[in-house]
Amino acid sequence: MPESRKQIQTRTGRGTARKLSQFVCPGDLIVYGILITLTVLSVLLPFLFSAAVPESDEALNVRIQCGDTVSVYPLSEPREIVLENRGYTVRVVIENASVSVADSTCRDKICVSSGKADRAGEVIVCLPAHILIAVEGGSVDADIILG
Amino acid sequence: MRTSFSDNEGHKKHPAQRLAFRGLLLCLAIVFSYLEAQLPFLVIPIPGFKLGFANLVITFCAYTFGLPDAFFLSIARILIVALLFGGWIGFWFSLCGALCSFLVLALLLRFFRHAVSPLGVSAACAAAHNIGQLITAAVLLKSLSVCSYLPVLLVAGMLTGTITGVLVSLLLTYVPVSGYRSYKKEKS
Repeated sequence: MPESRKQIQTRTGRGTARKLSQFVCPGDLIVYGILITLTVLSVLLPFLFSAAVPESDEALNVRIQCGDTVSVYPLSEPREIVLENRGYTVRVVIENASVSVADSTCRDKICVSSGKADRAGEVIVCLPAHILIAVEGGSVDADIILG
Repeated sequence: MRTSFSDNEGHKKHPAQRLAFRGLLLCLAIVFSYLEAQLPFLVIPIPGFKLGFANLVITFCAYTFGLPDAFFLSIARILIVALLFGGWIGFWFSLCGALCSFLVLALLLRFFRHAVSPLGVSAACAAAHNIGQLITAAVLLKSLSVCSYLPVLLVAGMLTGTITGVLVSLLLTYVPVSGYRSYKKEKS
């Protein structure tokens, strides 16, 4: 019996820090290291890519991909475009040299909350409606609005 | 000594018991998926950012009952969730995500079982799941523009994966399953 009592004592005597370290293996650090490296790489890649593209003062265009049809509008001219695809209606507004989704009948409204896109490389996506709105041309800006 | 809630050896003798426990886990996974979709305050308003509690069940199953069971659990969950609540777009997203996630899970559990704890496994799986969904988005939209979203998804995967990883660690510690081979190296 004294032996088993000893075991119980050592078990209960463990601190919280010891318990935490039980959960983590050295391999975890490698996994997290790989993931962080991937993240950093994926952030840096557009930078490297845009550095290779010579800058130009081309006028910016809005490319709207709605299902299989692609249409291009100049960003400088204000206009309103109503897109219908897959049973969803998406209203796109171009004004003040920026493009945004004013409203949409899709469920999550992620496209609406994406806000305005006014620089080359910025993208607004409405996944349920299969609509992709991209600002193109001009100097490629490294800043990318995600959504 | 606590009695284990299921018995891996017993399952070979009693197929009905085996069926019941896998069914139980499948139900749990479906309920988690449903809850996640129903509680908007759980979903941080970043697209693709989900807590992934269903992955908790899949990872737990992979550790306790083995990879083949986890694979069928994962596929069955996606099919049933797509039929019950979601559309087929959601189905393709989930399927691609789950396949990528399972690939990573299988690799880690097969070759690095003792080197990586559920924390790392879960984080890697969540990141792989998000990458799979991104691939689906790129295919559906026929555009690589969505790849700019990759860093956010990777970080999101790491965070949510770590949360589920901690939960899996706790489950494996406190829910006894006899016949379960611990990921920890046994000290002799």
